[in-house]
Amino acid sequence: MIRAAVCLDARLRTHQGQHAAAEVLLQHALGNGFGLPAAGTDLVHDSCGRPAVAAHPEVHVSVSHCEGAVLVAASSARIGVDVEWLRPLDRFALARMLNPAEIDRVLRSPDPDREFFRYWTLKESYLKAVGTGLGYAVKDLDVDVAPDGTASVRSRQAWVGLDERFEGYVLAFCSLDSGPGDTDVALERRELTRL
Amino acid sequence: MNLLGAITNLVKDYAEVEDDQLTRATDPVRDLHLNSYDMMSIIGRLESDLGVEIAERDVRRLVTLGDLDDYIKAKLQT
Repeated sequence: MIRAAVCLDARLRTHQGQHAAAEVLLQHALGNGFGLPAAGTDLVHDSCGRPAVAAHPEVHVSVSHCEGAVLVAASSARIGVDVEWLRPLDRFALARMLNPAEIDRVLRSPDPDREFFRYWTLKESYLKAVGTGLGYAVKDLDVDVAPDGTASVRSRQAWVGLDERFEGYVLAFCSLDSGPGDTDVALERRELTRL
Repeated sequence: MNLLGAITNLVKDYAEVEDDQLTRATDPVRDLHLNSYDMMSIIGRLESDLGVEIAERDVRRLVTLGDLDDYIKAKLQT
């Protein structure tokens, strides 16, 4: 099970605020999903910036933030998550991150901005799960998104999924493991005042 | 305008920051809180504007604005 929590709030504009919100959201996810007390959930980061729970290396965590949103997840599977707010796509990022077939699909889409951020967040979630971050040959990562939003990554042992229930945002999840429950996402929305 | 000036001008499009806050030592992710999307947009624009290619394998070690400045200068000289 991927235990995820998201906070969507226009006040989440600064990195400090997003970081503080992520800590609280993670404590919540780790407490609810794994019974870990808040005092035992201090995070460490590896050389690629990937977070981990110092006292519980068996639990994998992932954190993403953008303007107005923080998304966290915890799981016994190796996971990655990403959230982006929908805005006009940047053609430089498009050319940098997507391969020609993906660019073609984005530009032919009835909603190119949304389609672009689907691909972007799916790729980011995979990179976070793998732990390589930027620098990976991301164009070589072939992502497919069906018209109904079902997503997949070609030639990789990975499950990816989109969540577009929140207006103005695209959320993506990736699990590198496929055991029972490893691809089930339990997502909870938390309000800033209740963090 | 020198190269570092062009880089800082571009970064200012993505971060609410004053000129005197941007130096060669500035880390856009750590200091300006830009995310991966911002960084890829900036790198893509630098490639387009300056006619250089910034290899994927090199992106991870381009941490500061000074790193970017040095890397692009070296590329422009080859």
